[in-house]
Amino acid sequence: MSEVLTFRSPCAGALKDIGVAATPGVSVRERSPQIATVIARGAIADFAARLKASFGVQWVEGSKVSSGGGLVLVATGPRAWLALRDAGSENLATSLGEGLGETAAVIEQSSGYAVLRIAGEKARATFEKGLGIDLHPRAFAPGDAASTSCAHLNVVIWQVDGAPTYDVAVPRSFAAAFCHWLMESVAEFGLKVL
Amino acid sequence: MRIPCPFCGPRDVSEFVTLGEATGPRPDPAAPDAAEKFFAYAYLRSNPAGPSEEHWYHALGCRSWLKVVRDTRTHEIESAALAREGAR
Repeated sequence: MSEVLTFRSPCAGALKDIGVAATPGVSVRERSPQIATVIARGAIADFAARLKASFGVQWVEGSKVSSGGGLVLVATGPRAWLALRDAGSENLATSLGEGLGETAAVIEQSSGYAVLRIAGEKARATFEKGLGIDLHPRAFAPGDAASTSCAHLNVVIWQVDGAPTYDVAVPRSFAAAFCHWLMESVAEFGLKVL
Repeated sequence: MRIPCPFCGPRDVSEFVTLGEATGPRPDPAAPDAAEKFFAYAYLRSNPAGPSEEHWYHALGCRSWLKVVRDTRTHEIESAALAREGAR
């Protein structure tokens, strides 16, 4: 007998519009990309060369985002990345494993994280209530990434553009707590759930 | 207190876990003087009033072990490096 497991959002029911009558200062959209953890093996130059050859992605050193062709690698440590790609027919972990070969270990993580896209002119002011890092444009710009804590919850955050738009990945079981923090912190600015 | 993580940049001390003074590598348990070596490794600390070499773990950041030189009188951090890049 087969059992069909249906996808359930980790943020289901936790995000609601706030003050939609006025222009909301922040918007939030839950993304559902495929996710994998990538850990380099051996020389980092070999890893970077394979990444470029197989996926056309130029590796950027440091706590940064490397991206190209719809694939995004967010640095989470000196030799570790969170890889994301919008859901398609091909499995991300499988294609990364084949493309990177012996230069990296790849672990499927698609159901392990909630990924939220948070944007708007008050997005920075909202995150300043929870993050301990400097988000001023001179310290944190598009392409920068940080693994840190937001209101004591582990988060990986990276800036997408200057709107500002941020993507934040939260371990799945903390998603409801993160949404609770977001709803409280964004209340004064207004929130639009996209 | 902020620790300048070589990967993440300056971060609040609440993101880190301290292991205390960097006492060097674990002794060889098969050596004839293993008991003495382990006693020193586990219990003896120089506890300086001044710069002290310590191991810190960036648990809520890049999850790297750091070797940090911290002044125990002022909490001033002289340097922080990935432990894997230097002597443990």
